[in-house]
Amino acid sequence: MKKWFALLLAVLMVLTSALALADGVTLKTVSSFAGTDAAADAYVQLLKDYEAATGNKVEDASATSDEAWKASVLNDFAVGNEPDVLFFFAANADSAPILDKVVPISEINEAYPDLNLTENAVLTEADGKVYAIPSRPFWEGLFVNTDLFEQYGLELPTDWAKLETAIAKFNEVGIVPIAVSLSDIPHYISEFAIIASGTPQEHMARPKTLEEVPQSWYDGMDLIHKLYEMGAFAKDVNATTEAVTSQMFKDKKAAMQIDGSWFANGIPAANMDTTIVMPFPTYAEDADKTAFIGGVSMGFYLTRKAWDDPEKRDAAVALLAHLTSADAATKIGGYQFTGKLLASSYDMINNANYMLSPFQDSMTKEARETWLLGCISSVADGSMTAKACWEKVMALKPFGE
Amino acid sequence: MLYRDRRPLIVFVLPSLLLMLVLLYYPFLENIVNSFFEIRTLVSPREEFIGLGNYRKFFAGDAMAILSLQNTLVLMALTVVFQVGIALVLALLVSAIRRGAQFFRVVYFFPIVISATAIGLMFSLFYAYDGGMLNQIVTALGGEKVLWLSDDKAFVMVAIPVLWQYVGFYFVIILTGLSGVSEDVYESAEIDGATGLKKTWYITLPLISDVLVTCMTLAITGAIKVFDLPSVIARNGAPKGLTHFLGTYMYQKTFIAQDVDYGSAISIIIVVLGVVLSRTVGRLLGRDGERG
Repeated sequence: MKKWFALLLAVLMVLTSALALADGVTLKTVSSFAGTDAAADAYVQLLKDYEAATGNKVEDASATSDEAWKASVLNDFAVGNEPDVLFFFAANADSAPILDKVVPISEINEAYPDLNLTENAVLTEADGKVYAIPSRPFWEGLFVNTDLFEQYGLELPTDWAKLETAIAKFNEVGIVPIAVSLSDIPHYISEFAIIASGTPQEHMARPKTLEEVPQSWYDGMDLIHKLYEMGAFAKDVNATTEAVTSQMFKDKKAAMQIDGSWFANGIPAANMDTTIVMPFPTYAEDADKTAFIGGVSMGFYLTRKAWDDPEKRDAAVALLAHLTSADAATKIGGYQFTGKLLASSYDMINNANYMLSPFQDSMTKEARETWLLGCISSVADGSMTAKACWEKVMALKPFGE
Repeated sequence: MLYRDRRPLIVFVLPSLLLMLVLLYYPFLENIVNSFFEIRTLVSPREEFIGLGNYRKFFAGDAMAILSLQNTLVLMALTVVFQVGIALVLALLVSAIRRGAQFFRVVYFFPIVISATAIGLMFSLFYAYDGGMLNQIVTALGGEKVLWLSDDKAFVMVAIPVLWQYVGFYFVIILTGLSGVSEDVYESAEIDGATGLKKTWYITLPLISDVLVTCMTLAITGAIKVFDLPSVIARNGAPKGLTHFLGTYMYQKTFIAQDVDYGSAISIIIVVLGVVLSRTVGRLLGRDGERG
């Protein structure tokens, strides 16, 4: 009996192996098209289409983009467990560590000239090469619940005075003026406070020493303190989470929130005509009233591991081409929001003199963590000065030597 | 006959030993080495040898690290006093009742089987400023809403669920220890005139001292490793890093700041501290027990 059982198992193993070989190769992919990302389903369908067309299998391990996800992707690269194709951050401090393990697009195009993959200069790395193919641009701005402004007879916050008036009124009626968690995601307000406090050129600075830090970077930190003192934030701004504050905005318990296009995708359908996005009002006279943050920060990569594997190379290149085709770009790169929200986002982009890149993406991880999690909350409540904050951050050489 | 030749036993011991070596001791040794080198990101290799630089930074140059160490030590003390203390009191009370002991065992042990993440989420909903359970009660009673995770209250608010969750665990251990104390001893003591608290102080506690030492050792090592509950209730040591413990600070430095070498050094400090303190407590209380 045991002999027969062993024989059966052996036959099954051989059959399984044969079937696996007949099915083509198995590719591993990773992306941030998961969870609440509105393109998650479209991405999964694209992978299924690829499997159906090629007979290859795709094992996808996508997850919502956050610091833990970034760390797990980098960890996989560190231990040689990287995927074959991935959608990840490009042309910033996050991508720098993986560049020797991914293939430049020019190298792929040289070997597969028919594909003519996009080499978008926006994603050029420090070594002058492009490794990632973008699929989705992003923008950040001030989201406003216009119905709350109408209800309390307020003008939209197109300048600082109107913003202050709105903050005072919303405080009176028990609505949180600006939804943000400084202990969780202070990223957006920190950038916009600096844009509001000086020229776009100052925001574009990448200071190497403390002496080179523009005055507007200090003023921006002081502006966050000023907003805190005015009661612009919830009482628990230094202890709550971004999930809670975002929900408050969506539930109309908060009037404004600084966030990005991914947040717009999550606005309830019923709010598409009562929520708009606009540039954050400026505080300094020389600040640009139209400037916003935007660009392309992520793209699809092909890893060196897949490229060097003769069995996988063709399949992986085909998958990369499939995921970055024009058809795929419309499915996973498009916006899922509509109405006034969509129209206002076009207005913000079309009327802008400057589209700025978030400078925190160019900072070293350690300096960025020190700035965002070690400074902002303390500067906001006045327990740390802007000067002490930048001294602490610049000591870590955030933009290199 | 089976145990005369012990060589076959190696076959059974070897797999788990190999797993321990590969998954625990090898990474631990790598971690020690990592703490002496500069490692810039999670993907970067070891670069410059910096010796004890990370340890000097921890003890002399990083106020947040010292705060997280202080918080951990305070939590450890609170753990011994409240977790083991309350568990002891509850176990003594439950062991004295004739009916319903099983009911109390289940009730007190129940929080252990709930995941720490769920408990953390539950307490963060209790503490929420807007719509949180505690503030709903406070406002229903006519009071003003309270910021439960303010600078001065946050540590206590985070410590409460950490302490609460494991009371039942030590309660069950102590209760099991109490059940091992023979009734004859109590009867003899009663004949000699011992009653109530005297019986507890002079008979029960000395006889379960080994169990109490084990509980304290577990409580101390558990407090040093604490991570999940605080990280759910107070993200990134909120507010302003004031609720960081060694575990949460190590995570932030390693995975968010990607200061991998410094994170390695913090993890070594956690291990050394855990071993030293648990051995010290074991020896101190062990000797006391011998004298008793």
